[in-house]
Amino acid sequence: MKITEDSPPILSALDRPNSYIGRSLPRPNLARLTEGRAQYVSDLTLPRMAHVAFVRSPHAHARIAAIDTGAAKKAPGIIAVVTGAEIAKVITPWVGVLTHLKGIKSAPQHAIAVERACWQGEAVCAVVARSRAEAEDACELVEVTFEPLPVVTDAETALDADTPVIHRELGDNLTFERVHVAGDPDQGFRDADAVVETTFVFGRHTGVTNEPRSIVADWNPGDARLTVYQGTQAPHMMQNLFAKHLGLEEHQVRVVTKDVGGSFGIKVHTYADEMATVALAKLLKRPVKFVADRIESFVTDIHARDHRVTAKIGVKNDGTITAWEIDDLTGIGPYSVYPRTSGIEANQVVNLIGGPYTCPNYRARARVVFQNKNVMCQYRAVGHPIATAVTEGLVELAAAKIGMDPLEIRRRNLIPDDAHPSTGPSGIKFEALSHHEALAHLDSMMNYAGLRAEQKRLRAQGVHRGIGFASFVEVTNPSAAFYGIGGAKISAQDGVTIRLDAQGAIICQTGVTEQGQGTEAIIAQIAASSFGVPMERVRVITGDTDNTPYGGGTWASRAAGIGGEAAWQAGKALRANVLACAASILQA
Amino acid sequence: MSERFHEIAVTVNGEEVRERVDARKTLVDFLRENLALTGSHVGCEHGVCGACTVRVEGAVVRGCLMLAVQCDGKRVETIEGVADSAEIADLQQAFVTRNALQCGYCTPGMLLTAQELLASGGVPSREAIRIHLSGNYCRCTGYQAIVDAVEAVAKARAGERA
Repeated sequence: MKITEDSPPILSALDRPNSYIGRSLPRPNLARLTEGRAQYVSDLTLPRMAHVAFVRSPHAHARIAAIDTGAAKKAPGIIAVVTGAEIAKVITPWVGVLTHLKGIKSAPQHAIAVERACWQGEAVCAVVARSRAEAEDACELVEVTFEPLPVVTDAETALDADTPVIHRELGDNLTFERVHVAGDPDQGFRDADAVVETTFVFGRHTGVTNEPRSIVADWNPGDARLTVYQGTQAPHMMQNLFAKHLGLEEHQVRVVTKDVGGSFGIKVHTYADEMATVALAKLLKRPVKFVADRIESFVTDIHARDHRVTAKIGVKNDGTITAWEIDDLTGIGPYSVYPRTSGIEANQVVNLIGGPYTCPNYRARARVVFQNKNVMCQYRAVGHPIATAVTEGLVELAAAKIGMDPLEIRRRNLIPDDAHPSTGPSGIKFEALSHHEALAHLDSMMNYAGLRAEQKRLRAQGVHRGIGFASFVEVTNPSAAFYGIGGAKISAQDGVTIRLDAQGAIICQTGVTEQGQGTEAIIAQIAASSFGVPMERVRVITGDTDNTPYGGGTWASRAAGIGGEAAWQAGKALRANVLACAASILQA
Repeated sequence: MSERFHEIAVTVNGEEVRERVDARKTLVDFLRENLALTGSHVGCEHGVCGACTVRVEGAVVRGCLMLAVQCDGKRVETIEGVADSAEIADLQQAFVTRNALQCGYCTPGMLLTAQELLASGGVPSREAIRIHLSGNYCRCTGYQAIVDAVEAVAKARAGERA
């Protein structure tokens, strides 16, 4: 029999009316999405809007000897046919480097290829027409004379002496190299009773969004203003970059992002064809729309996770891990992607390997190399799948080698729950983690012993059942140490402005954006709770650089963590203002 | 070239529309570009993803695999019409309640395809629901909640009939 306390539990702030944090509530923006009333960029039509299609290189690497646009210019509905050299007069090229990634280098990338195409799918000419269909028709009439050049595809041989250098002025095909040594890895391997070494190979993949990348750019010379409707995760970052490369000031550029049909991290980068679209709008003084088709998405949306990691672990017979060593090689295409660079994923792999374990002896090398393939960059869970697969693969192999249970080897090596704050082997700081508590919970939740017994029973019947574990530490809500410190104008902070309307509803303007993950809902939940109004009386405005505070946008799980905290603080501040005002009026 | 453009008369969401269209224009482009019915989406343009799903003469079709000219004299319904008529109000509500959508790009097509199954009556198994929806891609990976929502509506509708 359970004895019930006489006194009820103490109520928390979250028990009062209009408290929505932690509750499962329908997202306020869903109704319009179920009614076909969303506002995706691909849905947008503006007066005098033109459409652009691109002629793309069929070669992985080729010199553009000549472009004959004569026939295309005479095709029905054509407004302009523009080459890379012509667009370069409107928009400057960019170089995807960050100063805190020591030694990272890349070549200037143009909105449309000038002289040379460096991957199959790179745009070499733009055709602008009254309709997309007419633009595509005329693309077929553009005569490009390509002279194929030697191709670098294999990351393994990209640095060999006899491999051609893609960007001669850079001297070699090495984009970035990081070497990290912590503790005494040599001593660690000497102390080991067993050493396991293997190579992990990861294939390229990408985040395939249902709505392809979409952009409508509108230059109004009368106002000297550029308005860009773009399916992006980071409107303020793009505002900065459009201004910078078109020779404008940020206040002259407005980026608007309403509904986005999936982003997954691929829509947080600068894409040459989108930069070209914006430049074309400036050149032609009218709105220009570009929506990637499915093939264009596959050959130009950033790819990710092309890594080959040779890795080694040392372990004692009692299960103590004594050393880690990894050598990561990753091929990133012909350019480091702007402005976040294509060095961050390898950097993260180095940061995260060995993460949750106590062993301090760690040697890592990561090399990032150029190739004539589509560009690669970071998306969703940057570096984590690689680092976790390698670390946990090594731990499993070590356990098998010494004949120890895989759960037990983790129990003996995970950082103790009471050891925080602590520092991982890469120097990464951990504030408060609870891997042991989580592991114990998992052990009982899954009935590990029972599953092992069942596995053994089934094995006798010819059924092979696998049981695997993975411990990892996830990096979220990053600070300026990620990008800002290296010179990219990407805010690590975010703001929320809340105003009270005359009838007592609140309007929240936030710098974080909605990509389908629920930003509008979480901001409404927090603001309603913080200020104290029903959620129906909260309106959230996102994705508009004219009407939201300067902010970093949505990536690395930062919308709820950073945008949400800003909403909480703004709601509290407004509440204090209202109470002070009311107290004064009511003489309370 | 005289045969390239055609005058068509289509009843779209109950309204008769007369438009002159290019023979090559797909139904979904016609709906989106000529009629500004942007609730039907374009995801793959080759019949794989189902984002362009609409109804022609009551049957669910791929808007990217059918030409506008093939709809001359036919009845076409889109998410806007089906939403306005309240035909799927319970299904939309179930999607909202169960968060059966994230970015929402696939949702109009998903709703129309689900409604086709639901309209055939009975309470389909979860497997039957999955098979029926297998031509509609959700890239935000929310199938579990989608199946939940469709199943809940099937049960509720069966309860009402009983």
